[in-house]
Amino acid sequence: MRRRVAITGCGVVTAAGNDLTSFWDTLSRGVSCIRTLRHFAHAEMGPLSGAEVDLPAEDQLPASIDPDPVRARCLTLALAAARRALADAALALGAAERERVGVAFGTTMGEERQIGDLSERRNAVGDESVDAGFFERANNHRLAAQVASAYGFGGPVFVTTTACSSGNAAIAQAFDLVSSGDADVVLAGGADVLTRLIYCGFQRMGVLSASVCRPFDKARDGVSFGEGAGAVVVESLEHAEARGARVLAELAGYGTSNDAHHITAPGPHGEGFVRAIRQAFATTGVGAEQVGYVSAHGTGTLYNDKGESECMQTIFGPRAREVPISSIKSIIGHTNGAASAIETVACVLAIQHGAVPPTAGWKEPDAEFDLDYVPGRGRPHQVDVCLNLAAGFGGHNVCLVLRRLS
Amino acid sequence: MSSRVAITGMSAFTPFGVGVEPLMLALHEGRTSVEPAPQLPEVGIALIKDFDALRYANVRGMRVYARATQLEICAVALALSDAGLASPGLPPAAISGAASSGAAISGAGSSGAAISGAASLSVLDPLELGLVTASSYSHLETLLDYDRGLTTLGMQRTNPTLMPLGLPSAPGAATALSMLAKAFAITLNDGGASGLAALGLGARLIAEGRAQVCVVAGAFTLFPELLLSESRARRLSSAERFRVLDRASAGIAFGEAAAALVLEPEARVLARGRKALGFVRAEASRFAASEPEPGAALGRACEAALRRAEVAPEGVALACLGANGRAPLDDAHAQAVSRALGKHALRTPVTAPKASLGESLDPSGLLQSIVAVSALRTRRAPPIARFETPRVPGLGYLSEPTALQPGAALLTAISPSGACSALVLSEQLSQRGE
Repeated sequence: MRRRVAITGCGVVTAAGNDLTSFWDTLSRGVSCIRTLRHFAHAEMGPLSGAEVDLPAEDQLPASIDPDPVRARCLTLALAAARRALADAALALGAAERERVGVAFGTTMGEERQIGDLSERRNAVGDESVDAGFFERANNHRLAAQVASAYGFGGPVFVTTTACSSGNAAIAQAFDLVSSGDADVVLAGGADVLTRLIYCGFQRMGVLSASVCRPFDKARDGVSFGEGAGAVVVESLEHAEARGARVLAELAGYGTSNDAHHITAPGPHGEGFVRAIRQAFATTGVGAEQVGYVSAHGTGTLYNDKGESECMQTIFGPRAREVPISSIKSIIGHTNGAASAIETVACVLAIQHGAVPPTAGWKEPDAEFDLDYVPGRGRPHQVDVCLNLAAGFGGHNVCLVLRRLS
Repeated sequence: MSSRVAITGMSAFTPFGVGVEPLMLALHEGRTSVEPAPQLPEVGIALIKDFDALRYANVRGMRVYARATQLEICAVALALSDAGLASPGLPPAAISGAASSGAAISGAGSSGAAISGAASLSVLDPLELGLVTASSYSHLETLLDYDRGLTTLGMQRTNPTLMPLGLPSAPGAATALSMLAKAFAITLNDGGASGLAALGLGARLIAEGRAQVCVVAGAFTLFPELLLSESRARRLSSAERFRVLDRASAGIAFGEAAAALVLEPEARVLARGRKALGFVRAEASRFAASEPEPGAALGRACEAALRRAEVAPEGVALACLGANGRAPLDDAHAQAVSRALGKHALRTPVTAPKASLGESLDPSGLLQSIVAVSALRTRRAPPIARFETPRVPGLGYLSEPTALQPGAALLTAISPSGACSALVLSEQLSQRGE
């Protein structure tokens, strides 16, 4: 017997804000937070743009976990988002209950800065730079393990990596763990930071935006990156009701697929998205006619815009123009493995507020893709069911279905 | 939920050779593959030697992939062959070509039944095939290479194709691309012992109908930074002193390996006239926040897995432990199994393949599963290599090959970061004590 699954807490740390109110306000106003970076640079690339998070002092990582806050930035963000989600859920559990709480985090690169740190120290001092803690610090599992340790959680603790759909994949895994009864509560999310690997890699691929990304706009010129983390408290509805928790939305289920097309490029016509959505519909019982909003992956590349727009037309047919679809990546940048976790929070807020966030910066329609991308600012819109789409390098697609609790 | 998920194919690349047969032979003989490391002779390691990926799977891009990814691709191809299946990305003709060069199919069959040849393999629909990769570190060598290039050569002179291959999801993505696995491709990281949890995830995805065939795979290869870091952490044993679960244990020894298991719904296996090698009955994972706790957390995982599998302690015919020579964690394995099996602990045969193979991290749980399935099928369990005196008494440690009663196998794993997993496998769906 599968259990119904609720979302009872949300937390974000993004360039658009570190609390739900300021985050939603910035999204709704369509204000881009992408600007010249202050804390990250690369000598060969000149001034870089992106979206950086300003963290308050209480979020700084204890030196006992890692004395270097720059290299440990990803873990810092993961812990900060987890803290906010748990506080939002008002989760106060005894020791026995904490043994039934798990953690699932997703990341695209995770502790990549540990590698960068090693490379630089190695250039200076050679193999002596490889210290006794490197192997543990380089393991992305510590994003989840440190969260579990901080709160004494004793359930399943995993990191799921499906590149830039990792946040959704982690939340999907949380759904499975809770709905099957393996755990009562799972804190799920994603975290990623700005890294040398991403900037250099995308620059060489020629898909790094020169200014601010413009998803679905005819003048798109590539991806803008951001750092951030998002987390949600995923809980069985039964458990949530028993403790009198406020249910923000129901996590109805998910669908997943793989393009197996190219190591970086998605399938050409969005067929992987279509399969993931259809599986999500089949496993949740939700129909296309019920969907009121789609949170797009929306990176600002032609491949993505084309595939995602064609997918919408396949799924919704003549109704495609009536379903708002937007990308918040032109506001907070592409936060890689964190992106879909943060977008899950945005979906929850869309349901809560009865409004949809915009695709900031969208101005010029592309004749091939004629959909409602929610230009300019957010707008009131009843959202009872929404889809959160995410895709990643290697062709990993994950679609979450969230709905207003009936 | 996963009680009708069958294992239909298995493959292993270990220092003992390619396939399940050389692995089981070495284990039954109580051999160990751990030797002094060539560059660091004070520590023991176990290496896969003379590996040529194209001999087993001639897929596009293979030369660009890191050795761990190559091994994973080859393990998946051979496991599918063992199941009588062929990947749509590697059709029988390609396998035939690889097989003619030597060891691709012959000898790789886990069941002992000869595979009649590539022509008899059933080619899967890409949409039917999913992949779960157990990986915490298999991307790391490429990432280290790429980043070293950026800092020493500069961005313009660093091979850009390495960038996407340096992502943690890349080994799984490359394998899924090579195999044309379109149902899903998920990489699971539990901190370094993800094999058992990955099998649990694969079984769940099969039980839910998200794929018709799911290959669960993983690979681990050694690289200098890993050895240096762990050596400086004083966690490594010399080859000579390497023991597992033994009072003389002096630390771990890493061992290279790759393994894959093919999962299918039982109904599908029957429909295509095959016999299951075993069944994934249940998996459970728990987390230990501090080192003294793994025994308790793993014990809870064992109890949960047995409960879900509906297997009583007396129904456990074999305990296959992930103990690796690191004393506190070896103790945790022993204490957990002792707690889960209660008064039946002493008479339950206990084996620990890492005594022969070394610590291969993520694929190690897959290797334990292969060992357990093979032991249940042949009713004969391999001993713990070089085992003499137990650190934790009260368990039925095997120091020589031992006949098994029919029943289930209980497998355990603890990752360095504290994730604990237990898995219950059986040869049949209903057996003694169930």
